[in-house]
Amino acid sequence: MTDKKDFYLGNINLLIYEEFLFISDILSTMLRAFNIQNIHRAANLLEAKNIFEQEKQKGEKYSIDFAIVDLAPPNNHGLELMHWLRHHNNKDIQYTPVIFTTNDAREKIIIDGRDSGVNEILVKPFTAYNVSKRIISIINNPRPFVQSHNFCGPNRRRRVEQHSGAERRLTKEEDIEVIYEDKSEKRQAAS
Amino acid sequence: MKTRVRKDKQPHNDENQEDKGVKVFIIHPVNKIKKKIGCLKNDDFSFSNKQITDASLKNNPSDEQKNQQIQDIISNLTLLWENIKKSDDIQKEKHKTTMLRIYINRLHDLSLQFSLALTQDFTKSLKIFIEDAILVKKNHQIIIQAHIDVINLSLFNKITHADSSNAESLKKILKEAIEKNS
Repeated sequence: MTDKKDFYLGNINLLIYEEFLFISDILSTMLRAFNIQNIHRAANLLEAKNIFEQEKQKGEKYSIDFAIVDLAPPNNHGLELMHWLRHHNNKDIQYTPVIFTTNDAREKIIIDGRDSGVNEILVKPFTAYNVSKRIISIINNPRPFVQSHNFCGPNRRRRVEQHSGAERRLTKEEDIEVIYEDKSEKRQAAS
Repeated sequence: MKTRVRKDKQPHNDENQEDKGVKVFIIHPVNKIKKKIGCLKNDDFSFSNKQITDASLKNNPSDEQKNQQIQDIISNLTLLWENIKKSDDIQKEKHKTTMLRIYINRLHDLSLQFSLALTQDFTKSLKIFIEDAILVKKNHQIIIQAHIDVINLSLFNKITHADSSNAESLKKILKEAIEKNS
């Protein structure tokens, strides 16, 4: 954390999907202190889906820029929301960065979260430092979005490492297509 | 590997397009958040130390609010559990078992958020136990009851640290109940 630059987050539209309103209150109070003012809150799955679609319909200015989604046990509606998001036919909704929250750090839960296409995972409790770190990560280090027959979401590999062993990946290079939405990024990658 | 700049279309939704046969798409979306906050592409966004400190200070409900929340949930949990124990056919009352899990999960959320280390241990143990518990089984009921009892005792006697002698006594009670009834 530095004091070098201050950016204005007042235009950011955020959705919190958390079924426990008291925890949702704590989180929104903290986010308001970060100057995020446009906070939509959903306490059930249907409400969350409606907010995504209604805000998108209002126009670019209002569409949800990122979401904080709780696993929402025991029905794990958070995973259901992730599936709906990552398979949405509107690409802006589909690519929405998501910070996934849970109070359960068991490996199975973390893997389920990662495989559902979340960008960041935040194990509760919420602290200003932990929340700020995840927000910084989704803004500064967006990972490319992978779309294949069995996965939709940000690339699950965070590190690029040289591999010296046998090639075991099933996907051939010619079966991969890289798409740049921003022309200048394509030029940068090519150079 | 092919690369292109996106025309406005979805890879998997366009069956008759040039994408046919391509199995994996790696898409680099535009970083809309950076644009919206006025952060240049190569600049790094950060929060100021002041913002982090302010947010930390605000992330702290009053003791009264905390106690009220805990009290509400523990009362609901205890009531519901009594109700479930009396039920003739709990298998048919799925909403009750769902609510039981929700209350336990919420209590776990609160104990984490308010740094109640001992309660955290108990709620975590109960949360995991209840995933596979069969609520009509007497021995499972005893284990759940033991959890609820130690959670109550830890909260109302304000035993927050998990390694005090009082905490050890409660952990021992729970351990014995689990061992005897597993």
